[in-house]
Amino acid sequence: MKIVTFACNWCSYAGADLAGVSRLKYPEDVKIVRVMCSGMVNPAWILRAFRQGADGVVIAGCHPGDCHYMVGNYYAKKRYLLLKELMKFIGFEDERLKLLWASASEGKKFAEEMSAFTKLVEQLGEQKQLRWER
Amino acid sequence: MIYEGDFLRDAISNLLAAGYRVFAPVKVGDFHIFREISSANEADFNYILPRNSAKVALFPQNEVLIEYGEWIEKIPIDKKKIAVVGIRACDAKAIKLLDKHFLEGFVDPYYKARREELLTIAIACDNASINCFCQSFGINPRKPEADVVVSNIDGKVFVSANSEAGKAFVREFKLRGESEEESMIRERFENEKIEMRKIDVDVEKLKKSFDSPYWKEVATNCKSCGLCTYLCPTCFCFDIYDEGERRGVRIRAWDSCQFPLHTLESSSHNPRSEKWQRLRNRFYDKFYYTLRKGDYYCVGCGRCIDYCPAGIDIVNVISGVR
Amino acid sequence: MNELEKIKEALRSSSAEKIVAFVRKENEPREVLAILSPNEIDRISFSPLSFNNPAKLLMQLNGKVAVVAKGCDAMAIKQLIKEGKLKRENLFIVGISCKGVADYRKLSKLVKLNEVTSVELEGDELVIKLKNGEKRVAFAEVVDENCVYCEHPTPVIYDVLIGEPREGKRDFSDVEEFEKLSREERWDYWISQFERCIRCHACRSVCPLCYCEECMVDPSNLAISPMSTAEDKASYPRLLGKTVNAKDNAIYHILRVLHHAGRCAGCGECERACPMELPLRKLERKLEKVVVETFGYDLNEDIPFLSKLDIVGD
Repeated sequence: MKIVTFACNWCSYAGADLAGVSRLKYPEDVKIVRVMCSGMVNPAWILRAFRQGADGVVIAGCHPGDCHYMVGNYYAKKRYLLLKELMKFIGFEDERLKLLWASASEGKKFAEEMSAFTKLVEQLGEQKQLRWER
Repeated sequence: MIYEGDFLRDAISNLLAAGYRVFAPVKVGDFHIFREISSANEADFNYILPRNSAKVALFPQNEVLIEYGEWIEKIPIDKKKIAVVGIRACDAKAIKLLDKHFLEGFVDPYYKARREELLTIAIACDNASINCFCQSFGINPRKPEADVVVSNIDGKVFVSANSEAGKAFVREFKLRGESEEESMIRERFENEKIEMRKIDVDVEKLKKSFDSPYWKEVATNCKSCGLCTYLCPTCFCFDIYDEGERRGVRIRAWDSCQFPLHTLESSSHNPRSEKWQRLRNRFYDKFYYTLRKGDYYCVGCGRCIDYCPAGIDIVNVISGVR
Repeated sequence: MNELEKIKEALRSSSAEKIVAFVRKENEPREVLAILSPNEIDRISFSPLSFNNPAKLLMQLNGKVAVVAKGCDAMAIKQLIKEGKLKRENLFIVGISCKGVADYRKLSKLVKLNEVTSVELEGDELVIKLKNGEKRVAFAEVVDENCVYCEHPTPVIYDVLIGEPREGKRDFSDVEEFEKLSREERWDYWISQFERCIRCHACRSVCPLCYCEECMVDPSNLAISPMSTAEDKASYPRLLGKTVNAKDNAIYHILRVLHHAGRCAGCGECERACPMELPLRKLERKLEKVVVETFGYDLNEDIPFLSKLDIVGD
């Protein structure tokens, strides 16, 4: 399985770091991309990830009210909701897209959520709807 | 000659069985699109003109030229034979115009491979649609210039073969000769002029109007969308793109002279940065610059008039040049 | 005074230097947009086939401009004013309380278009005047499907209003009907639609809200200056290739529609312009439903949707 996670630098990436330092295991299928803020995540990147064969995409950011840039994660939630509803409408398996709030001290939560999401994606199987190779 | 039965459908079955790739109009919703088909009952011939033109068979919208990864792999040119079934006189003439562009001077090997064994089966027109004007270019809508021509006159299916390839093809079918009366009916049908629009092309006036503010007026509503060029049967602009990073492909894709960055040069200068310049260039290309190749590059199919979202009408624009 | 006379009178009363209005297209019974000067007011025409949206044309003009706008056109103008692309003081809007436009494609199936001289709306009937005689059809048979669900038939901004104010309705039953289908059915439907798309970008070119000079999903439209180096141009992020296939087309349309969340005026120009007749309005309407129901936003508010940051649940 290939799972791409966009983790915000200040909270969720630090949380992932903490999971690593505490030796908490979560599957290697998860590839983390560090962005400065979850509000930076462009829906085009998410669709591009699916197009290139990602089986699941996670947007991880700070809890509402805790964003380092004040309101970045609010934009992330808005975009996530719109994209998810649209994907649902066209019949794409929208369970493959996930939004996660994880703070810098929640290493355990990060690892648990990633493991649970990987299991969910494994049950769904490989993503064939938007994957495209020549 | 006359065929008892549905010639077009039987022809498609024969062609598919002989290993040809067959392109024919397919009914989608309320209209028709030219597409590659894999069985004879996908085709539908109840139309005046399909939305897109037959150039998709010879000059596809995307074509992979090279694949690269650790090595560069040149994709071999597809040499499978192609047949285009169900085109009209305008599209048939357009294929001849595309030949002039792709096969004279620098020979395009991809086009040549597809064109060499191309079989065209055309249908003669009964009536014109609201925006047809092929007769202004000397095209007879009832006598298309194709390998095989099928006309439905008075409920009978008349088939005529106009070339060696066409004659070889129709030999496989049981055609009976025409009676004298039937010949007369066919000749009357072929020589009848259909009522349709006319375009007045005055090349001298066109030449002199290069700096005229007329073009700014014409281009008021133009949105530079490029639809006219994509649906036009004689437009041939393309661009070559590399897609991918470590591994990828080089593809040739349709480009349009109406896109804003079509004429962007590496120095970042863009001689046609305004949409009226691009629109003027399109009309000049169709009626003046291409005279070098010997013919107007418009066949009067009327697709650009029917589908332009801005309502720009090539007949009015050219007839009203000042 | 009939509707057209009222429009002309309203335009004469403005002090605009230029007028954006409908004129009759030659050879076809419909209207197209034109930029006129005040002494050409008599060329103006208006009928149920005046379906184009003048909002996009307004963005290319400077100075005081008068414009004839139906309900959806006025909404598009309001959105552009909200986003700072147009100035309210430069516009003189003759708003027309719209009863709907006729679908040109449906009309071309009922009559031969080259026999039609004009069309008029009389009550509930569309009167099609032919070269010899006339034909009457119920307007409900030829009305554009988009107009059936119109929420703002009365212009939301205007200087002069022609016609009685009418109530729109908020009705998402078509979207709800579609959502009842199973996931496979929905995917199969949409992929077969996107297969037809030829990426001509006509939908984007006619949309008044698609005014970005550099479109994110078009690799052939880049904002380059004379200062851009070759390295810049080569490594420009390309999110979509030029390859035309159903999946890339799906990504193109999803992204385009996402950019219109809370901004789409519902004029339907995209669907009319599409040569392959893709059901683009369906996608936009789904987003309109989400914006209205989940976020509680009304298009008529004075703040753009993107500035509102109410978060919904967790």
